[in-house]
Order: sequence, then C-alpha cells, then structure tokens
Amino acid sequence: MQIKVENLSKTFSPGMPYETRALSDINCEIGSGEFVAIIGHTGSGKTTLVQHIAGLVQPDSGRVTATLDDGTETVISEKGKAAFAVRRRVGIVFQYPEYQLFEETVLKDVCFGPKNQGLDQEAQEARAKEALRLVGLDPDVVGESSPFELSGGQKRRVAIAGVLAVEPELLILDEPTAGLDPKGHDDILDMIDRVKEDKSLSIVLVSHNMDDVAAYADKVIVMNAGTVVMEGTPEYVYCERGSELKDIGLDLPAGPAFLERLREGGLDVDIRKLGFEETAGEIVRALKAKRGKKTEKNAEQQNS
Amino acid sequence: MAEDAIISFKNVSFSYLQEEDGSAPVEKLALDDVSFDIQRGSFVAIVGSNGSGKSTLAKHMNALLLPTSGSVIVEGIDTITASDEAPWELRKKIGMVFQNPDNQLVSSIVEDDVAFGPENIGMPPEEIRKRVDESLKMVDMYEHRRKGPHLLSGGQKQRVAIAGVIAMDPDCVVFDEPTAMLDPRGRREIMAIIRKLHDQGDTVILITHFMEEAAEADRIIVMDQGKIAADAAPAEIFSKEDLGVLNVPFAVKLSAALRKAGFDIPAGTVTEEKLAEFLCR
Repeated sequence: MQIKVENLSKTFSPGMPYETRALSDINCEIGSGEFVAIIGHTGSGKTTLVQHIAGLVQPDSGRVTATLDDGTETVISEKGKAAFAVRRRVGIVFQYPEYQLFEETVLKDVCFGPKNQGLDQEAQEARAKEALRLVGLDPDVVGESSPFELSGGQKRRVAIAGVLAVEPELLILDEPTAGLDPKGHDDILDMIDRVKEDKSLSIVLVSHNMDDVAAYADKVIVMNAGTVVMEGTPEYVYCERGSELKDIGLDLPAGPAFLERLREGGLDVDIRKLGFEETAGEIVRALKAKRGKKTEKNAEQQNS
Repeated sequence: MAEDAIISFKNVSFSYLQEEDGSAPVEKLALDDVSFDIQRGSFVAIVGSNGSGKSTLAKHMNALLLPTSGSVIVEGIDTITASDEAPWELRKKIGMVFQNPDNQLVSSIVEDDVAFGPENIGMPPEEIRKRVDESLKMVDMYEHRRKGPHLLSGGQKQRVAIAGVIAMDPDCVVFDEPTAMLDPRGRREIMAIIRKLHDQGDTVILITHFMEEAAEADRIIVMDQGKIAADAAPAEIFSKEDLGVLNVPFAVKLSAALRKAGFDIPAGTVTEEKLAEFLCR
C-alpha cells in the first residue's frame, strides 16, 4: 500500500483556550514496501499524523490517499464505505499496546481482529496462529496461556500479532520498544523488519531512537511544531542536514553525535558517517593523520 | 554491615503466590537470596531483563515490600520493624521515583503537588514553602510552579515528581526506570538531575535499561531471575564478552574497535565523555 498525504491540517479544540494547531499543511509519502520513520519532539505532531494515516481522525483540510498494489486509489481521509474498507487494511500498534490485551487466552486475544472482520472460527484461528508465528511465538506453546502471565516483551509481541492477524498492508507502530530491555528491544525491531519482508508490508515507525531509525528506515520524516521540516534517507537527514536537526533540538545517532563531539574537541573528523563501522573507520583515519602530523613535526624539529 | 552502608540486604528472598486458571496458586520466587550493601553517597545502577527482579528489589528499600526471608537494614533499622512502627520515617529517608510520572502526581497545581509529602508529615508552613521552592529550583521547574501538571511534557512531569521526593530531604533516592517513557530531551534532563543529586552527596540508585545511563554510575548490579548475576564497576561489567540480555554502551564498543586498530585506549573507558577526552588529547 502506498500513502500520499496532501496539504493536511488539523487544529484541536478550535476556539477554546487550549486551541492547538497540531498539523499545518503536511505533505509526505509512504511508498509501497517502504520502511518509513517519523521523528520529532513530543508534541511535534507525529502521533496526530499517524492517526490521520490510519483514518482515526478526520482532517480540517487536505487529504490522505491510499493506492493499493493493484493500482486502485482511494481517499481514506473522507467518510464513506470505500474509505472504510481501505482503512481496514491499515494496522496501528499504539504505545504500550500490551495494556490493550483483554482476553482469557493468547489465541483468543489475537483472534479478536479477524473475528471482527467476520471470518469463521477456523479461519480466525489460522490467521491468529500465523500472526503469532510471525512475531516469533509458538501458538502451541503460548496459545492457551493467559496473556497476563507472559513477560513484558512477549505481551508486546502478542499485541502486535493481534494487529498482524487482520492482515494489514500498512503497519504503523508508535514507539514499539518503549520500556523493553535491550534484548527485547532488538528482538522487536528485527521482528518488524522480517515481517515487512515476509509480508511485503509498508511500515511507519514513530520513534525517538535515532540509532534504530538509522539502522532500519529507508526514509525519515522529521516533524517540528506540526510541520514536516525534512524528508529523506537517513544519510540525508542525519549527515547532510544534521546541524539543522540539532537546531530544532533533536539528537543525532550515536556515530555522528560522537564524531561531532570529537570535532568540537579539536580532532579533524568528517562527521558525515552513519553506521558503527563507518564511524570507527573515520576515527581511525583521523587519529592516524594526527599521529602522522606529530611525527612530521618531530622529524622537522630533529632536522633543524 | 559495612560501617558506611545506608542500605544493606542480607539473604533477602521474596516470593508471592500467582493464581493460575483453575489450578492451585503457584509460588513464584522474585528475589532469591540476595545480599549486598549500598555505600552512603554512592551512585549504583541496577540493570537486568524485564522480570529479573529489579523493581521488586527497589521496593524493598523503603518497605513497600517486606522480605519473605532475610532482612533489609536501612540506616541501621530493619524494614520489618520500621514498617510496623514508623514507615513514614523510613520513606522520608529513602525517596522513590517511578517510571510513569502520571501515576505519581496528585494535585492540580505543580507546587501543591510538591508540597503534598511535606504537608503529610506535618512540616511547618514556612518550612514547606522553603522546601517546595528549593526543590522546584533544583529540578528547574520553578517557573512552572503555578501550572497544572496536565499542561506539562512527560519530562517536566517527571521533574515535578522528583521535586516532590526531594522536598522530603531524603538521604537516598531510588529511581525505577525514570526515563523509560520520555523522549531524548526528557531523558537528558532527568540524568542531569540524577548527577546533581549524586554530586551534592546523596545516595542514588538507578534502575534502567539504558546502558549509557548505567555506565555513569560508580557501580552496576546485574539482576537475573531474582539473583545477583554480577556486581562491579561499569568498566568491569562491560569488559565481559557475553553480556547476556544487556547491550554494550557505544563508547565501550568503539573503544574495543579502536584497540583492535592498534590504538591504546585506557582500560575502563566506558563513557563517551571519557573516550572523547582521550581521543582529542
């Protein structure tokens, strides 16, 4: 599924003392099969934007258009049956989704979505089992347990499976790793990336973690005060426009952030490196160059 | 107990009954024979996977939980005795900050919220005023003192929750994943306050999943399935090859890569600040 957001604006509580312009004139795109990350401060409009993409909130002006893989285009920001049918193909995983688990067993919980879609029980269970396997859980092992007996990371997987069971073509995840331990964190991200490939999904990830964004995203949308201020590859956003990112108070991934610190400390490094290997390589180059200069100097002193 | 220990765990075990559908309740062991001392004025990080017993451990420090066996001694007093006789005396000494600031704020005005603890222990009004103002200044929220907490960001709310704790003038503050729900800016603000508390001599205990935060502590305790899996300085903890569920802080990983490339990075370089200082010399 492909999404096109055009001139989208939204104001909450218009005319009230706490009137907030949450989105102003947003334009952006999510390509089919693309992994898109949305970054920005708390309150910059990230969540409001994904709520519009999922059709949970109606815009004041502008529109969101979805193009299915067969080429049909639907304006999903409008009311109506056609828009509703397409919106059902968008799955959204909210922050701390495990708080929404409610059923007696894991399997029943994951069946909830397919059941609402009107599938018979056999089909529901088939979907639920597949979704559990996709998130790395064995339905024969955890299917009959209470979701509340599972660990934090497992609960979150079950919640994500519940969304995958409705077979979305676009999966939106709002801070899916918050509060998880480091291993749980890595497992969830690897799982999302794998599901994206297996199911050729489009992914929208809302995140504060710049290292995750740099490692997984094809494209980054940067939001500030309700507007999109940058859109491009992680290399473009973090390397080419890193200083602008810092101006609006956002962090760089660990690599460029550390290189910048070294540059401020007087080491002559190129800060436009993203991955760990590139960062380490650049530091080695700069240190060797510095050592070289020192040796030259020493040699000059000895000669004179 | 070492002479300068503020908190001392002696063979502490904690178990609870977990009800399962239809069957008899099963006993779960959350802490399994845990012993350690926390030195006065130290900064200790507690790390470990979800469900390893970190929060259960923390809740024993001010008698929110009492050991099933063994004993917890705080400032020389057993928490079982303290919780019977004067639990508030104990909780004045050991303050606690939790993950979700929304669960910790009780008033509709910031300064009222900070005054809640001191009022409860019957502090004189002038003294309350002074403590509230000082605490709010300490966390840099004084200018927001007349606002409603619902108008604040997550990081600001968490700072108000911390002000409420330090208004009680505790000797030790236990932070249970205080940054888990915050954005990077919020996290930096909270870490700055933690450093400040430690610098002014308070004992600080920080439970966290962020290894960069743990690396700033004097000492790291690693919990695994209710037991202490490791207890050492950050440099030693992060020098191990297999860290299990933990991950390696960026500075440690980078130091290793640079050593491999032939650069002599001093052992014990675990923070980015120290590594940058060394590389820029």
